[in-house]
Amino acid sequence: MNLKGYVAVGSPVPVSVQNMVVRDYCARNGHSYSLSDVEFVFGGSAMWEGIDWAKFDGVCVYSLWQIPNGAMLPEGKEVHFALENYVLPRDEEMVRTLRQLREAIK
Amino acid sequence: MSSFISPSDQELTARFLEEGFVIQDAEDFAALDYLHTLASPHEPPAEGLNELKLSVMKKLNASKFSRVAYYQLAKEALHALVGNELAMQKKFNINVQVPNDDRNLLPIHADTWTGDSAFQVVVWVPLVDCYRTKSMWILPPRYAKDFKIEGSSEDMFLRIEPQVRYLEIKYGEVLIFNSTLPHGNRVNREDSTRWSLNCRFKGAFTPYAAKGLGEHFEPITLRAASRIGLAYRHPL
Repeated sequence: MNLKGYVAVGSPVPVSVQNMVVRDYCARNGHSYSLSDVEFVFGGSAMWEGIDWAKFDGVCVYSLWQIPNGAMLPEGKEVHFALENYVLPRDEEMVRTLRQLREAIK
Repeated sequence: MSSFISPSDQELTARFLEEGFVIQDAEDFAALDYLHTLASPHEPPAEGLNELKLSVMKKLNASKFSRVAYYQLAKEALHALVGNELAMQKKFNINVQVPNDDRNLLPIHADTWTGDSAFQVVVWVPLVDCYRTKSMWILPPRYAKDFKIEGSSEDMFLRIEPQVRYLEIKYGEVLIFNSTLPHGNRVNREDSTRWSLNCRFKGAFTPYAAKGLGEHFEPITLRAASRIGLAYRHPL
Protein backbone atom coordinates (compact mmCIF):
# COMPACT_ATOMS: atom_id res chain seq x y z
CA MET A 1 0.00 0.00 0.00
CA ASN A 2 1.27 3.46 -0.91
CA LEU A 3 0.95 5.65 2.21
CA LYS A 4 1.58 9.35 2.67
CA GLY A 5 3.27 10.19 5.98
CA TYR A 6 1.59 12.71 8.26
CA VAL A 7 3.16 14.20 11.40
CA ALA A 8 2.67 17.40 13.39
CA VAL A 9 4.54 20.03 15.33
CA GLY A 10 3.37 20.90 18.84
CA SER A 11 3.65 17.37 20.18
CA PRO A 12 6.05 16.50 23.01
CA VAL A 13 7.56 14.07 20.48
CA PRO A 14 9.93 15.77 18.00
CA VAL A 15 8.88 15.66 14.35
CA SER A 16 12.03 13.70 13.47
CA VAL A 17 11.04 10.97 15.95
CA GLN A 18 7.43 10.96 14.70
CA ASN A 19 8.83 10.43 11.20
CA MET A 20 10.97 7.53 12.41
CA VAL A 21 7.89 5.86 13.93
CA VAL A 22 5.91 6.34 10.71
CA ARG A 23 8.74 5.04 8.51
CA ASP A 24 9.30 2.05 10.79
CA TYR A 25 5.58 1.20 10.75
CA CYS A 26 5.50 1.31 6.94
CA ALA A 27 8.63 -0.84 6.66
CA ARG A 28 7.39 -3.45 9.17
CA ASN A 29 4.03 -3.73 7.47
CA GLY A 30 5.27 -3.78 3.88
CA HIS A 31 3.90 -0.37 2.85
CA SER A 32 5.68 2.14 0.70
CA TYR A 33 6.18 5.48 2.41
CA SER A 34 5.95 8.93 0.86
CA LEU A 35 7.60 11.77 2.78
CA SER A 36 5.37 13.26 5.46
CA ASP A 37 3.27 16.35 5.43
CA VAL A 38 3.83 18.33 8.62
CA GLU A 39 0.70 19.69 10.28
CA PHE A 40 1.24 23.12 11.87
CA VAL A 41 -0.55 22.27 15.13
CA PHE A 42 -0.99 18.90 16.84
CA GLY A 43 -4.72 18.24 16.37
CA GLY A 44 -5.02 20.78 13.56
CA SER A 45 -6.28 20.06 10.06
CA ALA A 46 -4.79 22.64 7.68
CA MET A 47 -2.44 20.16 6.00
CA TRP A 48 -4.91 17.27 6.37
CA GLU A 49 -7.43 19.13 4.25
CA GLY A 50 -4.81 19.63 1.57
CA ILE A 51 -3.87 15.95 1.16
CA ASP A 52 -4.09 14.86 -2.47
CA TRP A 53 -5.83 11.56 -1.75
CA ALA A 54 -5.91 10.55 -5.43
CA LYS A 55 -2.13 9.98 -5.32
CA PHE A 56 -2.10 7.60 -2.32
CA ASP A 57 -3.89 4.51 -0.99
CA GLY A 58 -3.99 6.18 2.39
CA VAL A 59 -2.18 8.16 5.03
CA CYS A 60 0.12 6.96 7.80
CA VAL A 61 -0.38 9.24 10.78
CA TYR A 62 2.01 9.26 13.74
CA SER A 63 -0.73 9.00 16.40
CA LEU A 64 -4.50 8.70 16.51
CA TRP A 65 -4.63 11.76 18.81
CA GLN A 66 -3.11 13.87 16.06
CA ILE A 67 -6.01 14.21 13.65
CA PRO A 68 -9.11 16.15 14.65
CA ASN A 69 -12.38 14.42 15.53
CA GLY A 70 -14.57 14.12 12.49
CA ALA A 71 -11.70 14.39 9.99
CA MET A 72 -13.03 13.14 6.66
CA LEU A 73 -11.72 9.90 5.17
CA PRO A 74 -12.42 9.57 1.43
CA GLU A 75 -14.15 6.39 0.24
CA GLY A 76 -11.74 3.50 -0.38
CA LYS A 77 -8.80 5.12 1.42
CA GLU A 78 -7.14 4.06 4.68
CA VAL A 79 -5.64 5.85 7.67
CA HIS A 80 -2.92 3.99 9.57
CA PHE A 81 -1.98 5.11 13.07
CA ALA A 82 1.67 4.14 13.43
CA LEU A 83 2.10 4.49 17.18
CA GLU A 84 -1.07 2.66 18.19
CA ASN A 85 -1.19 0.22 15.29
CA TYR A 86 -4.81 0.82 14.32
CA VAL A 87 -6.18 1.17 10.79
CA LEU A 88 -9.30 2.97 9.58
CA PRO A 89 -11.81 1.86 8.49
CA ARG A 90 -10.90 -1.64 9.84
CA ASP A 91 -10.65 -0.54 13.51
CA GLU A 92 -13.26 2.20 13.36
CA GLU A 93 -15.19 1.06 16.46
CA MET A 94 -12.08 0.81 18.66
CA VAL A 95 -10.72 4.15 17.46
CA ARG A 96 -14.07 5.82 18.15
CA THR A 97 -14.23 4.25 21.63
CA LEU A 98 -10.68 5.33 22.44
CA ARG A 99 -11.40 8.90 21.41
CA GLN A 100 -14.60 8.96 23.48
CA LEU A 101 -12.90 7.40 26.49
CA ARG A 102 -10.02 9.86 26.35
CA GLU A 103 -12.48 12.75 26.23
CA ALA A 104 -14.42 11.32 29.19
CA ILE A 105 -11.38 10.93 31.46
CA LYS A 106 -9.75 14.30 30.62
CA MET B 1 -20.39 -0.14 58.43
CA SER B 2 -21.94 -2.67 56.08
CA SER B 3 -20.04 -3.42 52.90
CA PHE B 4 -21.33 -3.71 49.38
CA ILE B 5 -18.47 -6.07 48.58
CA SER B 6 -19.08 -9.81 48.98
CA PRO B 7 -17.27 -11.63 51.82
CA SER B 8 -15.07 -13.55 49.39
CA ASP B 9 -14.09 -10.35 47.53
CA GLN B 10 -13.46 -8.60 50.86
CA GLU B 11 -11.13 -11.42 51.87
CA LEU B 12 -9.25 -11.22 48.55
CA THR B 13 -9.05 -7.41 48.80
CA ALA B 14 -7.73 -7.52 52.37
CA ARG B 15 -5.08 -10.08 51.40
CA PHE B 16 -4.02 -8.04 48.36
CA LEU B 17 -3.75 -4.81 50.35
CA GLU B 18 -1.86 -6.48 53.19
CA GLU B 19 0.58 -8.62 51.19
CA GLY B 20 0.70 -6.71 47.89
CA PHE B 21 -0.20 -9.80 45.89
CA VAL B 22 -2.44 -12.83 45.65
CA ILE B 23 -1.60 -16.23 44.17
CA GLN B 24 -4.44 -18.44 43.06
CA ASP B 25 -5.25 -21.25 40.66
CA ALA B 26 -5.67 -20.16 37.05
CA GLU B 27 -9.38 -19.69 36.44
CA ASP B 28 -9.27 -21.32 32.99
CA PHE B 29 -6.86 -24.21 32.45
CA ALA B 30 -7.67 -24.54 28.74
CA ALA B 31 -6.61 -20.91 28.30
CA LEU B 32 -3.42 -21.59 30.25
CA ASP B 33 -2.65 -24.64 28.09
CA TYR B 34 -3.16 -22.53 24.99
CA LEU B 35 -0.62 -19.93 26.12
CA HIS B 36 1.78 -22.62 27.33
CA THR B 37 1.66 -24.32 23.93
CA LEU B 38 2.29 -21.04 22.10
CA ALA B 39 5.27 -20.15 24.28
CA SER B 40 6.69 -23.72 24.37
CA PRO B 41 8.92 -23.35 27.46
CA HIS B 42 12.13 -25.39 27.32
CA GLU B 43 15.76 -25.21 28.45
CA PRO B 44 17.34 -22.76 25.97
CA PRO B 45 21.05 -22.06 25.49
CA ALA B 46 22.10 -18.75 27.07
CA GLU B 47 23.25 -17.52 23.65
CA GLY B 48 20.50 -16.26 21.35
CA LEU B 49 18.09 -15.68 24.23
CA ASN B 50 17.05 -12.27 22.97
CA GLU B 51 16.03 -13.68 19.56
CA LEU B 52 14.16 -16.50 21.29
CA LYS B 53 12.21 -14.07 23.49
CA LEU B 54 11.39 -11.83 20.51
CA SER B 55 10.15 -14.79 18.48
CA VAL B 56 7.93 -16.08 21.33
CA MET B 57 6.54 -12.58 21.95
CA LYS B 58 5.80 -12.26 18.24
CA LYS B 59 3.97 -15.58 18.25
CA LEU B 60 1.95 -14.71 21.37
CA ASN B 61 1.09 -11.22 20.19
CA ALA B 62 0.13 -12.42 16.71
CA SER B 63 -2.47 -14.84 18.04
CA LYS B 64 -6.04 -13.53 17.92
CA PHE B 65 -6.94 -15.43 21.08
CA SER B 66 -3.95 -14.97 23.35
CA ARG B 67 -5.17 -11.76 25.02
CA VAL B 68 -8.64 -13.17 25.63
CA ALA B 69 -7.05 -16.34 27.01
CA TYR B 70 -4.82 -14.27 29.27
CA TYR B 71 -7.76 -12.32 30.65
CA GLN B 72 -9.65 -15.57 31.33
CA LEU B 73 -6.83 -16.76 33.60
CA ALA B 74 -7.75 -14.25 36.29
CA LYS B 75 -11.06 -12.74 35.21
CA GLU B 76 -12.98 -13.04 38.48
CA ALA B 77 -10.04 -11.95 40.62
CA LEU B 78 -9.49 -8.93 38.35
CA HIS B 79 -13.14 -7.98 38.66
CA ALA B 80 -12.82 -8.19 42.44
CA LEU B 81 -9.53 -6.27 42.71
CA VAL B 82 -9.71 -3.82 39.80
CA GLY B 83 -13.28 -3.70 38.52
CA ASN B 84 -15.22 -5.12 35.62
CA GLU B 85 -14.58 -2.32 33.12
CA LEU B 86 -10.99 -3.02 32.31
CA ALA B 87 -8.25 -1.74 30.07
CA MET B 88 -5.57 -4.30 29.21
CA GLN B 89 -1.99 -3.87 28.03
CA LYS B 90 -1.99 -4.46 24.28
CA LYS B 91 1.11 -6.65 24.17
CA PHE B 92 2.19 -8.86 26.98
CA ASN B 93 5.75 -9.55 28.02
CA ILE B 94 7.78 -12.71 28.46
CA ASN B 95 10.59 -13.34 30.87
CA VAL B 96 13.10 -16.16 30.36
CA GLN B 97 15.73 -16.54 33.08
CA VAL B 98 18.39 -19.12 32.28
CA PRO B 99 20.27 -20.42 35.37
CA ASN B 100 23.31 -18.28 36.28
CA ASP B 101 22.68 -15.79 33.45
CA ASP B 102 23.26 -12.25 34.71
CA ARG B 103 22.59 -10.49 31.39
CA ASN B 104 18.79 -10.55 31.35
CA LEU B 105 17.83 -9.35 34.80
CA LEU B 106 15.06 -7.03 35.86
CA PRO B 107 16.67 -4.97 38.61
CA ILE B 108 14.63 -3.32 41.34
CA HIS B 109 11.80 -1.22 39.96
CA ALA B 110 8.14 -0.40 40.36
CA ASP B 111 6.09 -0.02 37.19
CA THR B 112 5.05 3.47 38.28
CA TRP B 113 8.71 4.57 38.14
CA THR B 114 8.75 3.90 34.40
CA GLY B 115 5.54 5.45 33.16
CA ASP B 116 2.84 3.06 34.29
CA SER B 117 -0.31 4.04 36.14
CA ALA B 118 -0.60 3.58 39.90
CA PHE B 119 -4.11 2.27 39.26
CA GLN B 120 -3.03 -0.96 37.63
CA VAL B 121 -2.16 -4.50 38.65
CA VAL B 122 0.07 -7.05 36.96
CA VAL B 123 -1.12 -10.55 36.17
CA TRP B 124 2.04 -12.71 36.19
CA VAL B 125 1.78 -16.20 34.80
CA PRO B 126 4.48 -18.81 35.34
CA LEU B 127 4.86 -21.37 32.55
CA VAL B 128 7.04 -23.52 34.84
CA ASP B 129 7.19 -23.90 38.63
CA CYS B 130 8.93 -20.83 40.09
CA TYR B 131 10.60 -20.66 43.51
CA ARG B 132 13.46 -18.91 45.31
CA THR B 133 15.73 -17.08 42.81
CA LYS B 134 13.92 -18.67 39.87
CA SER B 135 10.94 -16.50 40.80
CA MET B 136 10.45 -12.76 41.25
CA TRP B 137 10.72 -10.94 44.54
CA ILE B 138 8.51 -8.16 45.91
CA LEU B 139 8.79 -5.71 48.79
CA PRO B 140 5.65 -6.05 50.97
CA PRO B 141 3.56 -2.89 51.49
CA ARG B 142 4.48 -2.61 55.17
CA TYR B 143 8.13 -2.01 54.13
CA ALA B 144 7.45 -0.23 50.83
CA LYS B 145 5.78 2.74 52.52
CA ASP B 146 9.20 3.89 53.81
CA PHE B 147 11.14 3.09 50.62
CA LYS B 148 13.08 5.87 48.88
CA ILE B 149 14.82 5.84 45.50
CA GLU B 150 18.43 6.51 46.46
CA GLY B 151 21.74 5.15 45.13
CA SER B 152 22.23 2.50 42.46
CA SER B 153 19.69 -0.24 41.84
CA GLU B 154 22.03 -2.72 43.54
CA ASP B 155 22.42 -0.39 46.56
CA MET B 156 18.65 -0.16 46.81
CA PHE B 157 18.20 -3.92 46.58
CA LEU B 158 20.85 -4.61 49.22
CA ARG B 159 19.14 -2.13 51.54
CA ILE B 160 15.81 -3.95 51.35
CA GLU B 161 17.07 -7.50 50.84
CA PRO B 162 16.13 -8.66 54.34
CA GLN B 163 12.52 -7.57 53.78
CA VAL B 164 11.87 -8.81 50.22
CA ARG B 165 9.82 -11.88 49.59
CA TYR B 166 10.53 -14.40 46.81
CA LEU B 167 7.20 -15.69 45.55
CA GLU B 168 6.70 -19.42 45.23
CA ILE B 169 4.28 -20.06 42.42
CA LYS B 170 3.61 -23.22 40.48
CA TYR B 171 2.59 -23.76 36.88
CA GLY B 172 -1.22 -23.76 37.00
CA GLU B 173 -1.33 -20.78 39.35
CA VAL B 174 -1.39 -17.06 38.57
CA LEU B 175 0.00 -14.15 40.54
CA ILE B 176 -1.68 -10.75 40.68
CA PHE B 177 0.48 -8.08 42.26
CA ASN B 178 0.52 -4.40 43.13
CA SER B 179 2.96 -2.96 40.62
CA THR B 180 3.58 0.21 42.66
CA LEU B 181 5.65 -1.98 45.01
CA PRO B 182 9.40 -2.41 44.37
CA HIS B 183 10.00 -5.78 42.72
CA GLY B 184 12.41 -7.53 40.36
CA ASN B 185 14.54 -10.62 40.05
CA ARG B 186 18.06 -11.81 40.83
CA VAL B 187 20.34 -14.22 39.00
CA ASN B 188 18.48 -17.52 38.77
CA ARG B 189 20.60 -19.83 40.96
CA GLU B 190 18.23 -22.80 40.61
CA ASP B 191 18.86 -25.61 38.13
CA SER B 192 16.22 -24.85 35.49
CA THR B 193 15.00 -21.91 33.43
CA ARG B 194 12.19 -19.63 34.47
CA TRP B 195 9.53 -18.87 31.84
CA SER B 196 6.84 -16.40 32.79
CA LEU B 197 4.44 -13.98 31.15
CA ASN B 198 3.18 -10.69 32.50
CA CYS B 199 0.48 -8.24 31.51
CA ARG B 200 -1.08 -5.16 33.07
CA PHE B 201 -4.75 -4.42 33.77
CA LYS B 202 -6.42 -1.27 35.07
CA GLY B 203 -9.85 0.30 35.30
CA ALA B 204 -10.67 1.72 31.88
CA PHE B 205 -11.77 5.03 33.44
CA THR B 206 -8.87 5.40 35.91
CA PRO B 207 -5.95 7.78 35.19
CA TYR B 208 -3.34 6.75 32.63
CA ALA B 209 0.32 7.70 32.96
CA ALA B 210 3.01 7.84 30.26
CA LYS B 211 1.95 4.46 28.91
CA GLY B 212 -1.22 5.74 27.40
CA LEU B 213 -4.57 4.80 26.04
CA GLY B 214 -4.45 3.35 22.56
CA GLU B 215 -0.67 3.11 22.44
CA HIS B 216 -0.23 0.81 25.43
CA PHE B 217 -3.69 0.04 26.83
CA GLU B 218 -6.97 -0.82 25.18
CA PRO B 219 -10.42 -1.07 26.82
CA ILE B 220 -11.61 -4.69 26.80
CA THR B 221 -14.81 -4.88 28.85
CA LEU B 222 -16.78 -1.65 28.57
CA ARG B 223 -20.39 -2.18 29.72
CA ALA B 224 -23.60 -0.91 28.17
CA ALA B 225 -24.09 2.15 30.37
CA SER B 226 -20.54 3.32 29.72
CA ARG B 227 -20.91 2.81 25.99
CA ILE B 228 -24.10 4.87 26.06
CA GLY B 229 -22.45 7.56 28.20
CA LEU B 230 -19.38 7.80 26.00
CA ALA B 231 -21.48 8.25 22.88
CA TYR B 232 -23.99 10.63 24.47
CA ARG B 233 -24.32 14.21 23.26
CA HIS B 234 -26.75 16.59 24.94
CA PRO B 235 -29.42 17.53 22.37
CA LEU B 236 -29.08 21.26 22.99
